Amino acid sequence: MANENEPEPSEQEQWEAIVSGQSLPVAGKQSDEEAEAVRQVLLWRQAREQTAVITPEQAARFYQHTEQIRRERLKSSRSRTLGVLVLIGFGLLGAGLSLGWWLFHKQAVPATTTANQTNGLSKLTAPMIPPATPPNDLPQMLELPAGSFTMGCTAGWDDQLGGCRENEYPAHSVQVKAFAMARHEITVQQFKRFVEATHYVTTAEFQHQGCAIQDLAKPTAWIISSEHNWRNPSFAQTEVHPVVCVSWQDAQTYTQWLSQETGQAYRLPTEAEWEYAARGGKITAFYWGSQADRHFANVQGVEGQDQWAQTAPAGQFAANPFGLHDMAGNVWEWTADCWQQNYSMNIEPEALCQQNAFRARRGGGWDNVPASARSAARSPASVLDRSYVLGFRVVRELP
Amino acid sequence: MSAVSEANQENDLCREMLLQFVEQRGDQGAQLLSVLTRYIRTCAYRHYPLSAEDQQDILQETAIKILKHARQVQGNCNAWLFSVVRNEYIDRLRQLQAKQKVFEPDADGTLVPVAEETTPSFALADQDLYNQVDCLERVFDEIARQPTGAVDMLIYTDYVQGLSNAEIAEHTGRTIGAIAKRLSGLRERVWQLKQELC
Repeated sequence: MANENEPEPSEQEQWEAIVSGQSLPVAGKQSDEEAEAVRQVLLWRQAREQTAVITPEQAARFYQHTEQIRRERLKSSRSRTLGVLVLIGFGLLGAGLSLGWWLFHKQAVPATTTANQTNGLSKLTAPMIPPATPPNDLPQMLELPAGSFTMGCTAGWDDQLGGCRENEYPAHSVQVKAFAMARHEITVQQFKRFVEATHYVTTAEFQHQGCAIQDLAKPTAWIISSEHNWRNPSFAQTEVHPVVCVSWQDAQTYTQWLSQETGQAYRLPTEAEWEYAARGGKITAFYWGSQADRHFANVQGVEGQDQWAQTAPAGQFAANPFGLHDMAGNVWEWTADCWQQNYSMNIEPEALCQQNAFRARRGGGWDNVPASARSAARSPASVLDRSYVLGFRVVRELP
Repeated sequence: MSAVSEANQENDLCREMLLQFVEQRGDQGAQLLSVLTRYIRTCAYRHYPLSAEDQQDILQETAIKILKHARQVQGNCNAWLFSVVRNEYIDRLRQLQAKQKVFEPDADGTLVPVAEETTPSFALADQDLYNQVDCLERVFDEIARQPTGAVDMLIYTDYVQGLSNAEIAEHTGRTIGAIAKRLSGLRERVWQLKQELC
């Protein structure tokens, strides 16, 4: 407390006392607040000029911790919103049922519960993923709910296996409508049915243009081998192996045929749909975690559960949370999207397709290191490219 | 080097520091976290004491905001960063003050907070925080650019940390009289430069 005998400090003295930290500023007193602002900015500048007191390892741990909290909060705020919507929904449903019951009794109109209504209700409690069956000659489709996810390389998650590629940045939020996706990559048997029905000639077969394979004499080099195509990709395949040596055009033609054959709208997945499906709701580099694991994918080499030097039969590895198999590894998969160098380019899809003849492929193949099979990993290939590591899977639009 | 290019360089460094944390590159954000930690510790040291846990919470909340908004930062990166950490600090102090507030019944028996003699100011706690900081940053950038700027800034930063004139004189190799003169002119200097630059 100030001594009554001491003279009041001048405004200048008070200003200096606050700047030097000897006095506390008083709220609402302009000169005090100005002095405190000067003090704070000087302290801030000084903090910026000193050397680091935190190590990169500590910073990385701190990042993981805070990013986790941020995501949990985001999730819980979404859940709260969803909860409110569900409550409102139940309220409206209750009101509707009451009104219906009242009308039924009032007018005595006979009412029956239609099969559709029963199915509609039971659908809510039925398991989302139907049981797996071995692939037959038409793709087995699984319905994926609409949702949003972070597409691209999220620092601290996707880059835990030696980093990401430039083309995976920046990570950004994407909304995806509900759609159905093939449980497996399109198999030899499925492609065969299409070829037999249409007498289609693939890019590799046309005038023996061939398929790209690694040069046995020099394994780092690739050659176009005229004698190889989807029927004979240079290694043995059974009917349930994923078809390879198919170009984007071949894949596109297959989806058109499948649409006509079934009366439903099939196509190649967009990159966003593909990544959404591959992640299965996970932010980690792979749907099973941050590290490579041969329990889940057919990648380069043979070890543990991964006993295939080339393609593995479809569905040999555990499915992801959406029930999809081989979203990592086995064969690269074509997508519908034209290639863009990274996600910061704000170019309309039509303009993008006019600029280049490349399409994005995803998922990595049997000859790749695990990092190439990450959910965010992407790579370009020309619409006419075909190789023995490149196949596809289809999606179906939902009404 | 011109004032504009120096400011741009400073801004680029700040953005790089932010992105190293957000994208987990380079030192993975160690420099950014060091700056924030030092500032929070300095604040907590004298006037606005907070526990180590509270300081850690401020750092965490600041980092979460950085992760959320770092890519949308426009303008003065350092001023933005300061606004974030400063607001977090003040929020935490207000929460503590609200908890510690003393209530007494009034004439009608309603509990009301006891009026305090003076309420400590949370300068730079309003909506205009960013603009104020941006302005003061420009002021001190300008001071630092003058021929004696480096020493002047050293004197000022020693001063805000509570060093006496004699200690500052020893630290900077100037006389006590010279230090007193520089400090007594600081207020006027800041005021004038604010008129010119902001």
